Amino acid sequence: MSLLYYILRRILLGIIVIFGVLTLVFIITKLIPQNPVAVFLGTEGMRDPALVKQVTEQWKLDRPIWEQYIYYVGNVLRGEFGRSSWSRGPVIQDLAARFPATVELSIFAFIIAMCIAIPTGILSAVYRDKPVDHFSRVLSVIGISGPPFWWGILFLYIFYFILGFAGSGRLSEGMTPPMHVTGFYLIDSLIEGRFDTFFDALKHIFLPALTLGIGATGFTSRLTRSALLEVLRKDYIKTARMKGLKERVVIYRHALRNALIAPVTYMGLLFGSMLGGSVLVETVFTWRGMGQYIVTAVFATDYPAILATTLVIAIIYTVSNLVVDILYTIIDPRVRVA
Amino acid sequence: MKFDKESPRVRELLLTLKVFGKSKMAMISLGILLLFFAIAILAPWISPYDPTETHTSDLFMPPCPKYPLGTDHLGRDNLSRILYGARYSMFASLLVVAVTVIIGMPIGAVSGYFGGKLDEILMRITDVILSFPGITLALLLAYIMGRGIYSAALALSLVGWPSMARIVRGVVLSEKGKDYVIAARIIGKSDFQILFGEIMPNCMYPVIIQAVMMMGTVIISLAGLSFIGVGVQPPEPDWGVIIAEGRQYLLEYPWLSILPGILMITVVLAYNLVGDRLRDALDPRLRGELAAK
Repeated sequence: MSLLYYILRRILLGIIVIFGVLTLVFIITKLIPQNPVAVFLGTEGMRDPALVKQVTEQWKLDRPIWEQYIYYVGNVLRGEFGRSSWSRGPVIQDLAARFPATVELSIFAFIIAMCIAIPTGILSAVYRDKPVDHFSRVLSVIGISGPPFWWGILFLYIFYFILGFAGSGRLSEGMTPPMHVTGFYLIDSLIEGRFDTFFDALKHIFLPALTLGIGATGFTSRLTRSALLEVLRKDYIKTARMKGLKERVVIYRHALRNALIAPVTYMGLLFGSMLGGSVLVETVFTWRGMGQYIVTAVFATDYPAILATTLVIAIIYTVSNLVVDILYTIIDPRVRVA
Repeated sequence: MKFDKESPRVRELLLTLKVFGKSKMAMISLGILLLFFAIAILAPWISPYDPTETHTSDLFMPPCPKYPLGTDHLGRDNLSRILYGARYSMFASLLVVAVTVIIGMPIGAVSGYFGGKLDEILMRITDVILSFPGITLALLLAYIMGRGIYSAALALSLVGWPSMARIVRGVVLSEKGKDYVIAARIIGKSDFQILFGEIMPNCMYPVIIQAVMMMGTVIISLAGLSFIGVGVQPPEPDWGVIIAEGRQYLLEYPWLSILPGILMITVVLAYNLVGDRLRDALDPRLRGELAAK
């Protein structure tokens, strides 16, 4: 099976899944116990039958269900998600404003998680059953077992209230955000050359990112440890040792490369889990991203906003899994056989 | 069924229990879980107060003989609230996992056994559901069904069944070509008899392991849904609700939020440790090694 064939097949599968996601959200819109026309027009507007008829026709709600579906898919593809009944603006604008905040947080969380998890996993495997190993294993299993939003609250208490490190939000109060280039405060502030803003943003992103990454950290650390231990039992490692290579060379040059395949495979999945986790973590840290948006929308009974955000998060998740899968087949030819 | 000590299934069960019992950590964890279940059942009898009863003259009391764990912003007894809160965490999560098994197991079994178009369609459905980060879809579903513990629980089951279905499907796929299945077919057993009578008993262990492993995640997700306000509704004392309420008074009274979290970690950790050990004890490769230790 050629690489190209595999990739095309995978992309096709991804597209089918995305259509499935669209369909599921469409079905959910039909299950909502609320009349969208009534929400749009308000009680005043609903008294005018001509207006109601006009909106119903404009939104094709009087058409058969499959026509509604085509209309809906067309709208989604054009980024037409309707108006948020809470912020009154188009949902797509709200999402565009909040999207970079969530992505910046997720990427940073991901980096922190990997920087902690992979070295501790390696240490744990190399010093198996030594105090370092026990310590890191206990820590990772406790990290996984705690609810992320609770860790966030605990960190806020310790680092903000006790140590005065940095509070919630993306910047300190009174600090103006950098001009909008990428929407990532860490990058935009550097482009503008405002280093004080950069460090302030860095301080503010640290706690939420650490919180968001806790699950991934514990999981990856455990995975790295077990993968490395597995590889260290292999014959080629024995050969390397018998050749008289230094232990350091055996571990870092020979074993680690193969051991890291397993954690790398899960990275896409973990990144996706962060998008989901951001719903709670952003709420705790009042981080104005998509997760906090969806929670605010829930309290405002803002269906267009809730549906659109869910859809966007699911699509990002699917696409990131797709990209990781494809990258992975390019890196590791063995996958194609399976 | 007669209890026959020599039958292979019974021997396997006894060996598994023996291996499981050898781990002190796993036994302690099991004890902790039983303790929390006992607390959940006995909450109405062991709680000193009604968990929603307010004492307006005793706001934010520190621990004292009258209120062993102090009171919250409405003067409610923290101990009673936490004891009652165990009911939601322990039983709602059990309900979620049970529904997950009830939906996921037959779908996975049918999908793996019959294969073809049906399998293709069912697996694409699981793909679609797994394309949503769990909590977002659960949030949406719970919200549509109306806020409350039952819709939150149902939402999590609807999100959770695909992983169960996939595990069962995998086992069925690997079993269906084996000799005992072919033998059953030769003697004229129907597909239904083969699938549910012959193959499914072999899915029990993977399903049990997955179910135990899921418990922790479900407890955390349920509390998360309550925390954002679509799960258990205040004034009911779910741990997620208590954490959310305490959050507003974090600076002066951090314990309001911190304590329920510690209890949740204890329960989830216990489930994870039991699950880990169970997986090892049921692994045919590891079992002999562990039993000999």
